[in-house]
Order: sequence, then structure tokens, then C-alpha cells
Amino acid sequence: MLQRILGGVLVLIGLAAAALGVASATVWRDTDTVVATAKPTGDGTFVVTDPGVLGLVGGDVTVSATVPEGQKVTLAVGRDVDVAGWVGNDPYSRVTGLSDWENLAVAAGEPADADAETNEAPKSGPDPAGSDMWVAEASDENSVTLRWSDRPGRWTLLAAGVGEGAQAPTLELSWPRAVTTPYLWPGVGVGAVLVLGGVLLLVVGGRRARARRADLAEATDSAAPGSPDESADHHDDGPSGLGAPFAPVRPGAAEAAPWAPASPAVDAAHEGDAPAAPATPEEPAGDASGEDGAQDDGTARDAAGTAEVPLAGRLLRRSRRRQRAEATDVPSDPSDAAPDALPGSPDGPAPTGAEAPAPLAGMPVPAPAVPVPAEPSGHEPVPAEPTTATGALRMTRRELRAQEEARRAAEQGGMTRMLRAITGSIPAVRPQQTEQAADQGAARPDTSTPAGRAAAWRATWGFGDTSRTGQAADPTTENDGENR
Amino acid sequence: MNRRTTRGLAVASAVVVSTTLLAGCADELPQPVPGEAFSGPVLTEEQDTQVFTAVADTVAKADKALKGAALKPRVTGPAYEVRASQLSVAKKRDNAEFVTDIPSESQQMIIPTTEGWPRTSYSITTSTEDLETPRLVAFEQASPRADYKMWSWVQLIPGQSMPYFADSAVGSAAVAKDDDSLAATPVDALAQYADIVSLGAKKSSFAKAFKLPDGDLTAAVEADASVWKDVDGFEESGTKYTQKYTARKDDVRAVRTADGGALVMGVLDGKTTVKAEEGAKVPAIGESQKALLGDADETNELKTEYTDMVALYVPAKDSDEKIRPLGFSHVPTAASN
Repeated sequence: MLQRILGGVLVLIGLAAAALGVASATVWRDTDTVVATAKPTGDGTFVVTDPGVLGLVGGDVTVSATVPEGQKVTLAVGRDVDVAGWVGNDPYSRVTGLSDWENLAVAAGEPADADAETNEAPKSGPDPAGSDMWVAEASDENSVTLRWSDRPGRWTLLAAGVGEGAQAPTLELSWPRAVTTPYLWPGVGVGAVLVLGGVLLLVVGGRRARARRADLAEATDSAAPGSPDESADHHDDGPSGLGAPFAPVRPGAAEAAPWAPASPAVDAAHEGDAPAAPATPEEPAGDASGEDGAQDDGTARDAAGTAEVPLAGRLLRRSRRRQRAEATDVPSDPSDAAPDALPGSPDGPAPTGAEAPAPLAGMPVPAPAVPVPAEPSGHEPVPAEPTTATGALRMTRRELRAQEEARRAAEQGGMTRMLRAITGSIPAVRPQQTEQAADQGAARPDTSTPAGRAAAWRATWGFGDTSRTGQAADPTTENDGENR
Repeated sequence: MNRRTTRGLAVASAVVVSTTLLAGCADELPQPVPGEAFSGPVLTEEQDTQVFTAVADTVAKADKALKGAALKPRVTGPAYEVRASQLSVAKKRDNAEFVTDIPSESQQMIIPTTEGWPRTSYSITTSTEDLETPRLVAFEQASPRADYKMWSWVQLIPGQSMPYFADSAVGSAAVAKDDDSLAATPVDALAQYADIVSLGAKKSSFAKAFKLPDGDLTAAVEADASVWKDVDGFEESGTKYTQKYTARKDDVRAVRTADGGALVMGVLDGKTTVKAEEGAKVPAIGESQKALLGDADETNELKTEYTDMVALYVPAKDSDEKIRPLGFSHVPTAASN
């Protein structure tokens, strides 16, 4: 519920952010020109800009000055010392900068000669037009416009109302400027992210609520049979298995719980298999752990989102458990050596098991690893039995790839998983194929020889009985194997 | 997702949104950045050319009307005195042959870096149409609201090389009239030169500090004197010829040259007197003098006043060079008897 509320709020905020971003680039977008006006203050017929004011916003400025009807106005640009000298001790208004984006800051000017008093305002406004010192000037009745491109140096503008009863003109400076819309894409981007996040929360929240309902129902169903592996699937229920997957095994601790990868936790759940089964070399340990890890994670985390995965996993696991049960019946268990041998480790089944246990026991071993090639002598498979291989098996490339995929699937974080579950972009049941391959691999005879691999190929595509033909040293089969 | 995470998320999103909104509002106002202070010439070459053109136009108009008053807007100081005199003479004679021709084109500009006023800029003109030597003209802006006006001109002495000046884009510093970094202060240099002109190179004690070229003002003044002195019976008749030149102390302008010396322009007031025996009649000799004298009757005395604009090169104090005259203008501006 809370998630759904939060999701809704996030969506709203996201929409608002995107709207603000768009608005900043449209209705609130700055104008292409900055126009600022200056109203003269106090006495005097002059307005003088400080150095730097002309280039305040942009290099090109258009200055226009207006005086009341019937008067003359002159604009001139000159070096700051020249303008100051020309104005002398007459009163004037000084433009010091922008007070806001539409108004220029105006102050009363001080006389050029610091000691001198400001003169009385002259009755007739003197005309600066025509002085040899100006680099640009314009003069006209009522209003006049002057364009100026800023250049290095302290250039100042002198605007003067001219003639009898003249007043200081009102200045208007306008600069073209490049308007940027810096908040458009950030706004839209942040908005989109928020909306997505909100939608995600809404969806997940909805699913979780459904899943909770479903879980409740399931829990009541499964509680009765009391199947231990069912309880292992609920991840709250298996703290011993998943809580500390990499915790080192205490020497002598026969308990299966804390050992290496996540996978054995599932196995650990059924007590019957615990000590012996993992040690049996019935199948590549890496494979088993990888798949189990993947399935286990899948089932544990989103029971709701990926309903198919746990179902398939459970089925598979059951089938494998059946196999294992058979395997344990087989008396040829080579690693009866130490009870604390690493059951999930690929090294575990090595024939030289005696030296393995103690030092390795403390090492956390990540799920998949390339199995150590077995001794050539020790891997003579017995065709009739599916669990004949006594040493580690050399995996085919396909198996390795499948194993790698499974491992990746197991490693992938929750978000990807969630997205996958929602979008279904990658089939959630994919690990199942690997499982099948692994199962076949386990059932298959030796694949270390080309003949064996050929047999495996046949098995994969359904040609004949592999367990019998796999050993046939047929030269053609061998060639086929080579060519692959 | 528990309650704390929820609250955290809510707070975070609120912060993000409000920050974005606030950032959109606060667009900082630019502050004026005054550029680097000007240190170069006070006029651009273009402006200086305009000044020169404006002056030449005004002078040309006055020349045409032969009216000294028409010079006022763009001519001042000794240049105005001399030019107005020349124009009045020309009007009386109805002939402008003695009005100095000043070409309206400049071949070199010497622009000052003076921040205050007065400011003086200099120009060396091209040669005249009559292939006379170029003129060195000084323009002065007396006050900020005044225009640049022609203050002085001299005709360069043939064969004299001008000192080097800083480029017009860099500007040359003005030199005070009592500047002591020179072999002689501008005022002193002018006074010494006036002494040489008055007494002649042989008699003046300052002649050693000068390197006088042929055809400078001293030679011109000597030539004036010899007009009288070479007349037969000049000495026998007891006629006296006196000449006195003095440098004006205020009309001095100087500008730094590239080698640390200075170009000094000034004015010498000259006065010559020819006094013959009682009852004798001394005629005015030149056409200018005649025009200046006007209709006055001839007497035994003739006084002529000259306003001579001169230009000197004064080297730096530690220089091996000597002061040398660069140009002059020797024009009678008054005559009486």
C-alpha cells in the first residue's frame, strides 16, 4: 500500500518536474535581448556609464536615449578619462550596472576633480557632439540610437540632453544574448526517471501484494506435508542456509549449513542427503551449485514475479534428488574419507581426497569452478549406471557456457531480475535448459575423449542409445569428434 | 521497503524538485568589469587624421577668404598669430604668395599619452606641391571640451634627420618644459637658441652645445641683417642695425623621442631695428614689411617684429649628441617706424 502511494507521488512529482523543465524552455524562457533602462537622478544633463557597463551582458549593445519632445540628445562613446574630463565638475548621473534584469542602477556622479565642488547645473546643456575624442557618437532630436561593439579598454558612454532647459536623457541599453534552456533536459530527464520509478513501485507494489496473498495460501498448503525442502525455498525460513553463505566451515562441523556456496543450502535442507550426497561425484559440482544458486535465488526473491522459475526448479530438483537418492545407494562412494570434506567444492570429489579437507575447509569457494581433470585411470565409466564417473568430469564447451550463464543469472541483482520478471525480456525458465544439459552430462559417459563427446552429441540430438555406443572406438565417430 | 526508506525517498525527491525550481529563478546579474585602464595614445591614428583634416579644412577656408578670424575654430597660439598676420598681409597685397603652404596630408603622427589637459599631438606633413620640405605641425587640445587646434608649425630644415618617435599606436609621452632629463630643459634650450640667433653662432657662448645646420634660423636672421649691412656706405652713414630674439617661456611644447631625448617646439620673438641718421629715410625692404607698415611715412627708423616658431631636438642628458634645430618659420608680424 505504502509503495503504491509512494509510487503515485513519485509519478506526480516526475510529471511536475518534466512540466517545469518544458516550461523553463518555453513560457519562462528568457528573451533573446536584455533591455535595461536608466532613469537619470538629480541635476545635470548628462548620464555617464561606468566602464564595463556597455559590455555588461554582451559585446554588442544598442544604446538609445530619449529626451522630452523638442529637445536634442547626443550619445558619445569615449575613453573613461576623456568622458570624465569632458563632464568635468558638472553634475551628472552615473550608471553603475544592472539593478535587475530590466533596470540599470543609477547613482549621482561625483566631480572629476575630487577636491572641487560640483558645479551648478548649467542652464543650457552643453553638447558633446563633435569632440575629437569620441570614437562613436550620434546626435538627434528627441531620441537617438547608437550601436557599439565592445572592445578592450575602459569605454564609457556619455549621453547628454542638449540645449536650453535640457534634461538628462533616459537611457535604454539592449544586448542580444544567446538564450540557453539549461533546465529543459534535466527537468524532463529527472521527471522521466521519477515517473518510471513511480510506475515501477506501483507495479512491484501490486505484484508483491498479490504475491503475499498467494504466499499465504501456499504456506497453508505446504505446511501440512512438512517437506523440508519446501521450507528451504522460503528464504525467511532458511537463515542457516543463506544467512552466511561464505562462512568458513569449522573443522569437524559436520553440519552442512554454513559451507561455501548458496547452493548446498538447498541440499542441506534435506537432511538425508547432507553428509554423503554432495560428496558424490555424480555430477559436476560446479553445475549443480550454479543452477541451484540461480533457482534458489529466483525462488527466494520473487516468489511472486517469477512463479514459473520456482516451479520448474522444484520439479528439477526433485528429479535430481531422485537421482541422488539412487546415487547414494551405489556403494562406490570414494570420498568417505573425512566428514568435513568440502561437499560442494569441485575439489571435493578428487581421488586424492585425503589431503583436501583440512586446509580447504576454511576457504569459501565460489560456486562454479573448472573441475580439476581427473586422473586418467580413475574415470573409466560404467555404461550401465548413470553415476559411474568417479573423478571430476571434463565439461564440454556447451556445458561450460551453460554453467557460465547460470552463474550470471545467479549473480544478477534484484533490479535486473525485477525488470526481467516484469518485461519477460529473457525467458525466466532459461536455467531449466542448463539443468537438462547438466543432467544429461551427469548421466552421460566420459566426455574427455572425442568418442565420448560424440556420444554426448548423439544423446543431445536423440540418436540411439548413448550409454552403449559412447564407448565404441569407432574411427568415424572419432573423426567426427575431432572435427567439431 | 519500510517507513524510513519511504520517508527518505520523499525527502530526497522534495529536495531535488525544490532545488531545481530555485535554481531556475536565481539567474545572477552580471557585474560590470572595467577593462584595463588606457595607457596608450589619447587619439587613434584615425582620430588624429580627422583632427588634421578638420584643421586643414578650416585653414583652407580662411585662406580662401583671407580672413584671420575664420581660423579661430581650429588654429590657436603662435600659429594663429602668424597665420592671421600672413593673411592680413596677403589681403593688403591681394596676393597670398607669402602665406605658408601647409599640406593637409600627414606622413607621421606623434600622438601623446597625456591623460590630462592640455594635450599636444604632432604631425609631419608630406612635402608641399612646390617640393618644399615637409612641415612639422603641433595640435593642441587646451581643455576637455575644446577641439584640437593647430598651435604651431615649422618648415623642416633641409637635410636634417628627424629623431625617431614611438609608434602612433603606442603613443609618446609629453615632456614638461622644465624636464631635467635632457641635455637642457626645453625652456633653457629655447633660450639658448634665441641667444645664438640674436648674437650669431660666433659670438654666442651657447653655440658649443648646438650643432647648427646650414639654412637654419640663425642663417635666416643673418641674411636679414646682411640686407642692410651689405648696402654700400652702411657703416659710413652711421646707420645702426640691431636685432634681439627672445624665447617665450610659456609657449613651449615638448614630446619624448624614442632615444630618450625630446622634440621641443617654441616661439622666439624677434625685433630688428634699423636706425639711420636723423632725417634719413629707411624704406621697408620686403613686401611683407611694406604691407605691415602700411601707409605710414618713411622715417629714419624701421622696426620689424618677427614671430618665429622653432623646433629643436634636445638629446637626453647622457647623450653624446648636441642640440640641433629641426625647423623654423621666420615671419614678420609687425612693422613700425
